[in-house]
Amino acid sequence: MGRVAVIDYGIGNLGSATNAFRHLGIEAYTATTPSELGDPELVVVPGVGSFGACIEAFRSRGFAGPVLKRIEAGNAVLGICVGMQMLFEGSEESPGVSGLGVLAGKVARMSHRRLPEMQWNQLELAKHPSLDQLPRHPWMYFVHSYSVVESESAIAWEEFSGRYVAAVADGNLIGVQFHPEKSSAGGLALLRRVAELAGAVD
Amino acid sequence: MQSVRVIPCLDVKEGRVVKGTSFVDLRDAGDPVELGARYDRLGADELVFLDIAASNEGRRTLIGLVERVAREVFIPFTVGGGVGAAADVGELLHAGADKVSVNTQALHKPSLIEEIASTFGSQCCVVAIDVKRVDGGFAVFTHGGSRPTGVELGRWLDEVQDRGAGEILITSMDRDGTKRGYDVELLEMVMARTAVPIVASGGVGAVEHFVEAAATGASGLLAASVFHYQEIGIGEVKDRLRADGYPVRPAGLEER
Repeated sequence: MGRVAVIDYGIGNLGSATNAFRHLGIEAYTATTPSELGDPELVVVPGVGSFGACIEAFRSRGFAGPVLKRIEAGNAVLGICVGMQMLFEGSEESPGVSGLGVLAGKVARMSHRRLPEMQWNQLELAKHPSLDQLPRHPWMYFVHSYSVVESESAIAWEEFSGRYVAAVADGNLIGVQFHPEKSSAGGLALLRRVAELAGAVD
Repeated sequence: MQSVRVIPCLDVKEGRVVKGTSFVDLRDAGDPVELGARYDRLGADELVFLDIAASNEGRRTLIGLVERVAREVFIPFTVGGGVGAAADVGELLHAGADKVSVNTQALHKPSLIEEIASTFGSQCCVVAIDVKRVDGGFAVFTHGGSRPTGVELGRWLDEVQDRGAGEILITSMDRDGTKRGYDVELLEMVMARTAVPIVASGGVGAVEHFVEAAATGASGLLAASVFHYQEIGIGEVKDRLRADGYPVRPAGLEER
């Protein structure tokens, strides 16, 4: 049994997150059912594609309950991209579909005239243990058309014809809008630190 | 301002990276796994892998090879060649691709774009378009640039965006392999007619050529042989772009 579980609810490229942890020498496995989830130090919730499709698949595969329980218990969870957006109440992308509602606020369509934002962007960081191994303005890779405008839990921001939330934290729950698993050395450093804080690194 | 992405492209045939002039007369340029790992280390912003013989030979992309490259690469990784159904996309994403590029098959069956975008999201659907100047206009070609389609570029750009393309990769066949620079006029036309990120391809022979394409607003700058044969360094391109005022990600973590 590994120590980082990456949830596979059937959408998007889940190989790359698992791949990244393994490259760092951190045991990682994918869980395609809640029973495969086990009790790892860190649970990763990835997500690409539309908000509605992701949250529907996440719920219908039975992951919403166990992940919410972990969050309530204060265990470490990392949401990536739509996996972070799902923590909020909802998204303009899929009106009428409710998110997990762990964090207050909604996800909105970005205002740039050329979308999706598909680029490396520099972050502005608040002080947070998960970010303390990074340069002051690290470059991370973003792919999204919807974003969180502001959140009480924000710990990092990006500029893209407007200022948007790039990362959130609430206790041991962390969410990142960018793709650390695709952000080369800087992204890998972040993943290592999050795993370390969760106790998933020996 | 959008940052500019420098993107090496691996044109793969029979398991090797190849490069020729205007899609013919191919010569060997190395091992895809080694090259992929090297470009990640050198600070490439993305990597593109095109199985260039797939459509011609009617076979599917080399999944195993994609997997091996993906294990070495921690930057966005686009794979194309012979993608004809959403099931192919699922398989490539599982093998480690982040985006999938469609070209010939999308022209045969444009609904393929919607199928991919609705299943996996627009962000992973790249539409590659091979363009040649014909009678004063821009015409779309397929099958690795060997067959004319009779489709006019502007109309095809509108259609692929309507159907959900998340990014468009434009290759000038007139310039490909010539080292005369990107077709700037073509890029300007494409930029004016699109609202998704554009990747420019075909013709790079000098560092200035990257700057010329960035000036059109294209955010992805793709090149192959100049990188494979180490005629131009990725760091060199980025330094030049930055000096000319274009935001680019530096090559290493030590940069603060």
